[in-house]
Amino acid sequence: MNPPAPGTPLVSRTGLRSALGRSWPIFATCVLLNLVSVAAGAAGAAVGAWAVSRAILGASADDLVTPVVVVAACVAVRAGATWLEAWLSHDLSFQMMSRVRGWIFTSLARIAPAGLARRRTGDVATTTLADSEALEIFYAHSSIYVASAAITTPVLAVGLGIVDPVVAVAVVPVLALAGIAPLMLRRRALRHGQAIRDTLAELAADVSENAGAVREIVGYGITADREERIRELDQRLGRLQVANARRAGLETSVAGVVAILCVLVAGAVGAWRVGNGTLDATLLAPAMTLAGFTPAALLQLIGVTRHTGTTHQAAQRIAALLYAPTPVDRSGTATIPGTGTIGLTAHQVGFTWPGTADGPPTLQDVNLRIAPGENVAVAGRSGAGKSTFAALLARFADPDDGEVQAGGTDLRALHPQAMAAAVGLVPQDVFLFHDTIRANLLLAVSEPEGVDDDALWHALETAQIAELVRTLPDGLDAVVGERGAALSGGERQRLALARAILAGARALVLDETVSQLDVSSERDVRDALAADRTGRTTIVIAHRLSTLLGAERIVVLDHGRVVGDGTHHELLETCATYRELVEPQLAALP
Amino acid sequence: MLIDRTVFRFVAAARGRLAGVVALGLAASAAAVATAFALAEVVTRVLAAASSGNAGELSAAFPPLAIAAALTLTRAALLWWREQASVQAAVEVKHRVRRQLVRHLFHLGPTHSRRVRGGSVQATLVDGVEHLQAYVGFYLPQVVVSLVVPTALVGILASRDIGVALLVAAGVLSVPVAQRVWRRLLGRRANHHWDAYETYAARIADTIAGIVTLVSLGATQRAGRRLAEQAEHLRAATTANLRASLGVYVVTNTAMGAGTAGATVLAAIHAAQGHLQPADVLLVLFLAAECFRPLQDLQTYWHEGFYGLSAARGITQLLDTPPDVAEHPDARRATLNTPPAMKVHHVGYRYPDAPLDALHDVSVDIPAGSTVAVVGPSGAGKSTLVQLLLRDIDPASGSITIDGHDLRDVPLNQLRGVTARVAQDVVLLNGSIWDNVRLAAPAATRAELHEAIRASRVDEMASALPAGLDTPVGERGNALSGGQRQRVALARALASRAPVLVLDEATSALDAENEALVTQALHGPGADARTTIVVAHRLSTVASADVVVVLDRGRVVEAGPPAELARTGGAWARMLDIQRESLRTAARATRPLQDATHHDGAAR
Ligand SMILES: Nc1ncnc2c1ncn2[C@@H]1O[C@H](COP(=O)(O)OP(=O)(O)OP(=O)(O)O)[C@@H](O)[C@H]1O
Ligand SMILES: Nc1ncnc2c1ncn2[C@@H]1O[C@H](COP(=O)(O)OP(=O)(O)OP(=O)(O)O)[C@@H](O)[C@H]1O
Ligand SMILES: [Mg+2]
Ligand SMILES: [Mg+2]
Repeated sequence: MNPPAPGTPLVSRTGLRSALGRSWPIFATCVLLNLVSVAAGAAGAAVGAWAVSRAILGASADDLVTPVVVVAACVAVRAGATWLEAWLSHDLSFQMMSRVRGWIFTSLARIAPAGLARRRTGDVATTTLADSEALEIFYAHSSIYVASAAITTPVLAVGLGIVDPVVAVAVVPVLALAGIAPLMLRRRALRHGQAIRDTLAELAADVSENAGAVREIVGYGITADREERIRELDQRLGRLQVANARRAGLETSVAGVVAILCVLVAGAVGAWRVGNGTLDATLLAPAMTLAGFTPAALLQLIGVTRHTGTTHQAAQRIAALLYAPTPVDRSGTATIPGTGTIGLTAHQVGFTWPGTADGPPTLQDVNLRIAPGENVAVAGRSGAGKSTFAALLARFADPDDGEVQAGGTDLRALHPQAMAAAVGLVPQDVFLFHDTIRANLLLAVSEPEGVDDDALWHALETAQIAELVRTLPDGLDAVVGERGAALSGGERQRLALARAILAGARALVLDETVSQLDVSSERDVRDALAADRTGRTTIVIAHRLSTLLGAERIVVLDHGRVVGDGTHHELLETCATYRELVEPQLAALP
Repeated sequence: MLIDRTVFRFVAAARGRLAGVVALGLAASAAAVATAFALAEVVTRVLAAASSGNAGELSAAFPPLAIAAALTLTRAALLWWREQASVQAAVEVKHRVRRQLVRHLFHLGPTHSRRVRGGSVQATLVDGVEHLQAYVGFYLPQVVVSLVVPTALVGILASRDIGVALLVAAGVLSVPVAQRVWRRLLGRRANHHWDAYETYAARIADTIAGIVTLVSLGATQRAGRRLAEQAEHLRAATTANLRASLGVYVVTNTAMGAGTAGATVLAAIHAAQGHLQPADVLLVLFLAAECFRPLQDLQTYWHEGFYGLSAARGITQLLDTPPDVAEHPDARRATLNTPPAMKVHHVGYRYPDAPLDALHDVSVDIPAGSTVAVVGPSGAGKSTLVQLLLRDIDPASGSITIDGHDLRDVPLNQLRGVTARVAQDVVLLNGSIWDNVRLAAPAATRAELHEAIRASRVDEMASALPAGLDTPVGERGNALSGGQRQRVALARALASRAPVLVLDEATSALDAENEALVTQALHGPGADARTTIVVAHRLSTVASADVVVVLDRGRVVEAGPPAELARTGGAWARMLDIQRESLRTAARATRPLQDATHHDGAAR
């Protein structure tokens, strides 16, 4: 299900409506059941009080049969309604939860990776987990109480009015007092909620960073600093939570006093009415009991409004993801005809990473034409812009100027599926998911059910990693550890390569993919790739001369510009940058 | 009641505060009971006035009414106070648990965090600990209140009407009995919830961390679906729990409702039969209601605190995980030379569950101040050796010494203090380039840090960045290019001035020019003040080492000075040949060729 239209406030009736979607009947039923259970509780208690009053005033035990039956019926109805409501509302909460998380995933997919670059993983994870839970509580619980309070309170007031209108008139204004504290403290509640959620998110981001950098932290002996940072955040969180409890506790206490006040007012007014003979003495106790029940729904509501602040801030953090601008518009529909190899073209491409605008552009006036089936290497100093160029080819971002084409079509016009089929990239930092080898490979295909193990093994063979996988006791089902930590550096690279091969893109971009292989393994990979599918367009980014030499043509980038384009020998003659890149490697050879 | 022993080790610290919470809860109940007495008195006086027909007597009802009002306010104040005390107690407990967890996470060392999912650590440390709040601060103290208050009140009730007292007692007892029964029914399923939550949290974190890869594979949708499936698992695990706790909720609610109603009815009958005085009827009713109130609260808190119980298990589990490398109980600071020498004696190592040894009978001599290069094909065991040298892991057989001391006898802190590494997968910490360099040597002067920055060529790269050394590196260093990140990691290692420097593919993403300059700086003047271990695939990086060790499939196949090895025609010579072969075409055509052949010839 798609997220609400941009800008829709999430904590609002429109927000609720888009979250509920077709689940609204459950919602309505919950409200109704809530009304039934509160009303049954009130009725049972009032009838009980009436029976007792009559007994005291001299009724015989036989007169009590009817009230006893009514009380028993009320208890049963209340139990049933409570159970059913609890059941349904929990079901509703799961629906809401998965809906909100669904929105978030959809948005993550839409804005990734550029839109997530400035967010910390731990922070985004918190939004997906804890913030969505807070918003779910609003949709599946708080809103029910709001709706129910709006209906139940008048119903109970009317019930009280039937027993005695004067008492009812006296009690109703007192009810209004229950809402005063939350209203007066609302600004503070919002402030507390915001600070608590933000601190929690910061804590989560710090913890997740620490968990990913234990080696560095213990290695450099900075554990004390890190512990201290967590301690400070934790202390801030604690202070906020205590302040929040002070406020919320006040709200609840005021509400509790109001409930008793209702009873006392009813008692005082009722007693006066009994005294001057306008109210039957047996109705005093039922009136007081009912008066005690009238704020029940309001109390329920106040029990959840104490979370207002957290809900609002959670909603804001979620909205920040849902309504984040789309960095790369993937609504294109074009496809590239055929299934064979394709050429890639960069035309006057310019690009600057967000946040580095006051420096020179990362890429500038890049013009490049790569023919279908060609095998091109890209060389350049560290920081020259090679990986950035690869990112544009894989459309992680769109160029600020010019355009990139695959098979003659601007990447921006391509359907996402066509894009994935056109260009496959093995990034410089390969990432393996903490899962099995099989699961890591199957991510590459759109219909994993249709892929048999032979295809997986073929990809592994081509990437020269099959031999290793065969030695593992669990084979394809071996788990690779956090970020692939159970594999060596070169093995991780080869597994990522196997995944890209399995994806079967028509042009393959390898960013330093063989940098951690020895020269002979590297050559094996190259030969296997060439044999695997003749004519696949391949772009290899590398520093190592042996890798560059494997290409038909070498493009040299420097400070974001193309400064050389040709064969090794041509470049040695014409391109000073290239000479500087390769001469040390030739000279080092003993 | 649902109390878990594991939780007690966290709670002990806040015992005093929790006792305070209990006292406040009891005081609030006492105020409520007193209110009941006062209200009963009000009604009695009103009824008396009504039956005597004298409206003037009504005013007699106002003093007890005023007392009831005052008691109500007192109770409200007590409850307000209790809420704060509860949160305060919980905050104290959470604080301790978190500190222990963070400390233990570091204590567990680098290997643990590579084995477990980072996201699950986050889930335990953040959400798990937060969940303790309701359980520790609210549920636990309420357990005591719910034991004391109903017991006392049933006693009072019994003195007025034994029948009602028995009925109420039955209602009250149904609560713990029901919770016990449901607990039994729940069984081990309670743990599943937290496990499922942790797994789910870990998946989410993993997916977000790998989002670039997902985009490049066009797999974001698929990953989203996978997460949805995972969410379904969580839902299943949670619903199982919820069903059980809903059962408790409904059973106890009904028992309490039936108890109150039954007490009312029974009191009415007894009054009608003349067994019970009118004043006592009301008192009995108010007290019966008051009996159930703490249980009702207990119920609510249970609902909120339930996750705390299952999270406690996740917390205990992490805290009880033993570290891979334990500090020897009588490890004493060793006297080490600067730089120290290291020796690897017949070391064998196998990863848990691995079919083969990662290292087998490996011996390497690393003289003080020398540079030892470790080369070999991918998967040969080079990084494993690095981890053993830095004591991330301990050898299964054989030993490693530093200046003659077994690494296991040297305090971990001391060992980590004299070593610095640049890992194969570089991780930078959030902050600027400068922050990352400085963290390794907080006491160093600017000049010293700049020296490290120059030697690692970070100065050259920073000059091209708009914000220079203040450029933020991004999460893990993602906002830098691969080679830039490696250089910052190198600067960090150099800044620490550790006398043992371990470089695992530290320059693999550098261009040849920068690599040559960095290698020069590493091996240049002052290099013998350091013992250096270099792992590299590029032969240019290692050619200037004092000793080359060739590893293959976990065994040392050759070791010695590179020039000597090149002459003897073994594994190293073959590697050179392959390298030369691969560059032959390049070398043939141009002038550098002559240089190369010249060197080539000289080497022979
Ligand atoms: N995500 C990012 N945000 C901001 N700046 C970035 C980002 N990624 C790269 N840069 C900057 O853009 C420039 C080019 O980086 P790029 O990764 O393209 O270099 P590269 O040629 O691949 O270098 P290397 O050989 O070291 O991998 C560098 O100055 C780098 O700091
Ligand atoms: N945590 C682990 N659990 C199980 N096996 C592992 C683990 N780490 C490494 N291995 C295995 O041990 C062997 C040696 O790995 P190691 O990382 O030492 O290789 P390496 O020589 O550094 O290779 P590379 O040059 O590719 O980095 C590999 O086959 C690898 O799959
Ligand atoms: Mg790069
Ligand atoms: Mg390695």
